[in-house]
Amino acid sequence: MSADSDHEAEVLRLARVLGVAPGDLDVLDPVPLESVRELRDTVQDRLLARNHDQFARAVALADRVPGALAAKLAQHAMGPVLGGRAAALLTPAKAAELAHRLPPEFLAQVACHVDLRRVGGLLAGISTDTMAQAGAELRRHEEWIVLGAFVGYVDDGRLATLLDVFDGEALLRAGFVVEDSARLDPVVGLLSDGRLDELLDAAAQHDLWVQAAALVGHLGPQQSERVGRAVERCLTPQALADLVVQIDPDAVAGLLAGIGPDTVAQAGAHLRRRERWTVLGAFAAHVADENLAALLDGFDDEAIALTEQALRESGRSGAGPSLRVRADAAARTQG
Amino acid sequence: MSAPAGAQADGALALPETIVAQGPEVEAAVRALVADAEAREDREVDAALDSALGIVPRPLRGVVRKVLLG
Repeated sequence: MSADSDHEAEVLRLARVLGVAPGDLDVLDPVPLESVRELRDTVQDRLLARNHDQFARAVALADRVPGALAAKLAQHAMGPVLGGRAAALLTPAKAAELAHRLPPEFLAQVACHVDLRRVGGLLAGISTDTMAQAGAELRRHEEWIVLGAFVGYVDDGRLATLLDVFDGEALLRAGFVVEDSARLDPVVGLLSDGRLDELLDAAAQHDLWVQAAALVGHLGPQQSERVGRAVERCLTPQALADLVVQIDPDAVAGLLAGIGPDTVAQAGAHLRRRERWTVLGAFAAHVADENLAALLDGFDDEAIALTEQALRESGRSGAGPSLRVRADAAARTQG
Repeated sequence: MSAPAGAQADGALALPETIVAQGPEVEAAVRALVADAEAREDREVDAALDSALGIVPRPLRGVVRKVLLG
């Protein structure tokens, strides 16, 4: 997730809490993300404290009336905003019972208004089936930021099942705005190779390559490598070359890191034939050193010089060693 | 993360320092948005109480009223 999208997502969360449109918070554009988040936490705490007694009484009432009536009151009297706020005072057992009785459409609305710092612990008691149905509603309404926030509060075992609810586009869009980016590596680890291919198909279909690459940027070596193999399965070398021509290679760097030498060499050959030296320079900057030899193998001295020059002019290589030196050093290390 | 600025014992909203640093207009705008949200919550809570009493079957209204209104 980029700094801009992080900030945009945080402003949207705060707007939800304040009950205003995100545009009403334009005054916060220059305010650092951490401060916007701090303000959200502060406002959520105040709104819960302000009517704490009334929320506590509503929760107490849920224990005194039949479950069906409690659910009806939650849905039709409190509604999703107050219901989401009062949820912070529920016991895990009551939360599970109410969630079971409430329709998924309403639960999805409540999910948009809960303070996950306070109710995250209640999720463990809610059945996976109920969460899957509410999750499907959130997906239908394209609530990517809400879905991305919940990822931090659901354990891997349940996520493995819940991920099946979401198509590649949803996984990419929600993954891009995940609040706890440390969760991305284990989440991708739960996806089969087939699902990784689905993600990349969705990236191609919906022009989400930047989102896909940003997501890969949060992965460890093992999952990055799996995505690299998926890139090789889903994109021909020519399609990969087209992608880096079409999109700034810096923006899709995460996708380039895990691809193997053959694909690097063939994609590089396509770019060389088209004399796209600037793109080649950027491409070379993101290719793993151990694959540079494969990239340069088919290049004559002039092509290497032009690629090197583009790399230098882009400012990506700095005062670092030349491509040939990097490739040779990597070959020696491997040898 | 910036430290809360202007925290006061009377429960006034303590805004992050970086928001206060944006100037009095920004600070006032944010305080007004929070005040609006608080006023809206008060209205919604009142409406929810009325609505709840309308939803519950008549024989339960006494209990519900007692629990909700104390």
